[in-house]
Amino acid sequence: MTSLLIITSVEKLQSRINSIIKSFINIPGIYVSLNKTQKSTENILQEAGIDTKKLFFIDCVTSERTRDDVVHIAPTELDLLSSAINDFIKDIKGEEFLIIDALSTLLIYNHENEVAKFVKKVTEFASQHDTQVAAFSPATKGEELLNDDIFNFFDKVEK
Amino acid sequence: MEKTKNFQKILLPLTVILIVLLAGILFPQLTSFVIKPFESFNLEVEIPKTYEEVLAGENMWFTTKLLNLGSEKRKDVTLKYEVFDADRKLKSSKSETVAVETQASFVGDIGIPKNSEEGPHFLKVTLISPFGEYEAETSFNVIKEETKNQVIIKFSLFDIQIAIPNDYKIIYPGDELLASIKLVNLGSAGRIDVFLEYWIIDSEQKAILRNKETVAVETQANFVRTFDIPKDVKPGKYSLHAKLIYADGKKAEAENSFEVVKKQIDKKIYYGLTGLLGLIILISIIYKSGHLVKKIQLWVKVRRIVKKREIK
Repeated sequence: MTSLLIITSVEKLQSRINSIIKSFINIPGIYVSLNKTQKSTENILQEAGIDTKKLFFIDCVTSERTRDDVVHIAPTELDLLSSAINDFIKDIKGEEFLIIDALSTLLIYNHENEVAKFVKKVTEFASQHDTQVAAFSPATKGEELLNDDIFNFFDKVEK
Repeated sequence: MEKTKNFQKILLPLTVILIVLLAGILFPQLTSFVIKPFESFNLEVEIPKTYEEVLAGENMWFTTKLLNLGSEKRKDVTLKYEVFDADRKLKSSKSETVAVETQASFVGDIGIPKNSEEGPHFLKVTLISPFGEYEAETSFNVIKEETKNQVIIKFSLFDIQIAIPNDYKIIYPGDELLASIKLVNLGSAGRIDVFLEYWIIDSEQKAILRNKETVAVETQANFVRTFDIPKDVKPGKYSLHAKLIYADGKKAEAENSFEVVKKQIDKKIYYGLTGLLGLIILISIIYKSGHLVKKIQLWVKVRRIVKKREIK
C-alpha cells in the first residue's frame, strides 16, 4: 500500500498521525504541515515521543523562517509544493514516507480540481519511488470536504 | 329554422372577410387598391428666393421634395405641375413620372406663358400614385420687366469643382465620404440660388447614392459635404458627380473619383494587438522564469537540507 487517505474526527486526527509516523520505524519522512506551524507540529510530535530528527518539514502555515532546514511554501503554490515534495522524495536515500496534514486545508485556498491534480501528481510520483503516502483530513458532520475525484488517487481511504 | 337564419347572417360576412383576407395574401397588389392607403406621401414644393420672380415667357425653377412614409419600395409616381394666375385660371401645366424610394428631391421647371399677367401666381404640384393624390402649393410673382435678379441670372456663368481629400480617396464600406465643393460664378453680378445634384456611381454606372440641395452663391462658395456610403457596397472604383443647375436651365458638372476597399484590421489596432500580445508573452515569460527560479531555489534548499541531515 503506497497511498492512504485517513479521514477521522478532529479529536482523533493527531493520535492517528502519531501512530502512523510511529509505524515507520527508522524511516525518514516528509511532513507537510498545512494547518499547524512546523514549530507547533514538532512540539506535538515530540510530546508524543516521536523522533522528529528524521522528519523533513514543509511548513505551509507560516512564511517566517526560523530554521534553515524547514521549507516554507504558501498553500496556494501547489506546483511549488508538489515540486518540493518530489525533490525530497528524490533526494532522500532509501525508503521514505510522506505525511500530509491536513489535505482538506488545501481546499480553503485552491479549487477542488487543482487539489485533485496536486494529489494525483504527488501520489503518482510517490508510487514511482515506493514512497508511502499518508494524507489526513478531519471528518465533518454533513458534507464531505474531499470529493470522489480526490479519493480516487489514493490506494486506500479509511474513514 | 330561426337558428339556420342566424347562422347564415354570421356566415355571410365571415365568408366575405375570409375572401378579402385570402385575396390579400394571394394578390397583394390588388388589395393595395382596395384597402388604401398602405402608402402615404409627404409632398413639398419650394421655389428658391432668386426664382420667386419670373419673367413672363421664361421658365420657372423649383424643387419638389417627396417623402414616402409608407414603405421603402421603389415606386413610380406621376408629378403634375400646374401654374395658376391670381384668379386661379390655369396658365400652364406639365407632367412627369418619377421613381421614389424612401425620399426624393427633384428639380423641376415649367414655362410661364408670355401673355401671363404681372402679379402673383401659384404653382401647384400634384403627386398621383395608385394609393391616392397629394398636393402642395406655393406662390411666385410674374414680372414683365427684368429686375436685378434676372440680370444676375442672365449673366451668371458657373463653374463647379469637386475635391476629395487624400484621406477619403480610399474608404471602407459604411464610411463617410467627405468632399469639398467649390462653386465659382464667373459672370457674377450678385447673389443667386443654384440647384445642386450629387450622385455616386460605380464602375458600371450604377448609382449607389443621390442627393440634392439648393445653395445661394455670390461670387464663389466653398463648402464641405459628406456622403454616407452604404455598408453593402462592393469594393471598387466609384465617382462622385455634382451637377449645378441655374439660370433657366444652364448647367455645370464636375466629378471626382475614390475607391472603396474591403475593410481590414486598422493598422493602429493591429500594432496595438501585436504589442499587447507581446506584452502578455513577456509577462508570461517573466512569470514562468520567476516560477522556474523559485523551483530551482527550492530544489537547492531541499538538497541542502537532506545532505545536512545525512552528514549528522
